[in-house]
Amino acid sequence: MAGGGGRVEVHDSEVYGSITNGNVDCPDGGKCAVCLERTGIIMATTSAGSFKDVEKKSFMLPLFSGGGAMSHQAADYYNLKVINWDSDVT
Amino acid sequence: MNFHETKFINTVKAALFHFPSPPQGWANPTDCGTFTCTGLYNAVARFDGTQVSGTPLAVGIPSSFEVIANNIESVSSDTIPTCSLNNDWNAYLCTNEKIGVLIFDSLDGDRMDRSAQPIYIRNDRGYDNRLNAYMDECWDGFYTCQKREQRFPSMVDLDREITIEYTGTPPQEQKFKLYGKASLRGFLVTIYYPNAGAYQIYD
Repeated sequence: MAGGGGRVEVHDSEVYGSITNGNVDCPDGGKCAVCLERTGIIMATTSAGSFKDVEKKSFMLPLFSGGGAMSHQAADYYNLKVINWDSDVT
Repeated sequence: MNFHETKFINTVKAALFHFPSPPQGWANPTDCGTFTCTGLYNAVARFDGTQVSGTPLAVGIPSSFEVIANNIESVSSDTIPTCSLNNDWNAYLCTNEKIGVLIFDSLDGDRMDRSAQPIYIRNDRGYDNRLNAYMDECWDGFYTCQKREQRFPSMVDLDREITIEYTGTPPQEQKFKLYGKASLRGFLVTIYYPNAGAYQIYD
């Protein structure tokens, strides 16, 4: 989003936590209704960019990555719904 | 980051946010130098028009508030009026619109090669925020590139004048940008330079 500067707007989005009514995508008899990964919103996900003629390091993104507003960028979320985050652990 | 008209539905308060601290493992010669990179310590999220509903209910969340990172290596977050630490979030909940993020960049030709950090941002409330440059985030063969971007985000208390003290020579040319609530009045930034000189400021 907005690599290298600028401003991002996100409108009318929904972020779900726990599934409370079963996993409808799971085949009959499957065991896929537990331990689903969830991430939520990773704020400020843009990077400052790579350099020329080099290979970028890779590492896991934290919730708050080192970019976004910290790279002369900003983001505005409008009408975000955060639903069913009934625990702070997965 | 600004969040407008957010609705937290069936959401427990402890699960609303998590602001991780930068790993201490980043404090090494090939990544961040003698202390970890500080961008994550200076994150601010601003909310307005927030609603909570359902079960569980996130009790105690106001309509308008700010969440700021828990900067455990500086005296910063805990000097801001109205802010209280939430250990579940590793962050402070504030009801203080006079919180912003000041980002300043070196625009000199050696902006990737010459270090001015650590940089100290201070005010008369005891705020003393130590800043590091960006991580050396590239590889050049088996080694890192020895290139670190001279860009410094700092959470700031917009209700106080601040001073900026470089421990290296300040850049000749810099760009400053302030993220905060638009309707607030400005605030004074004083930069210590090691020499007498004239500097031009462009809006």
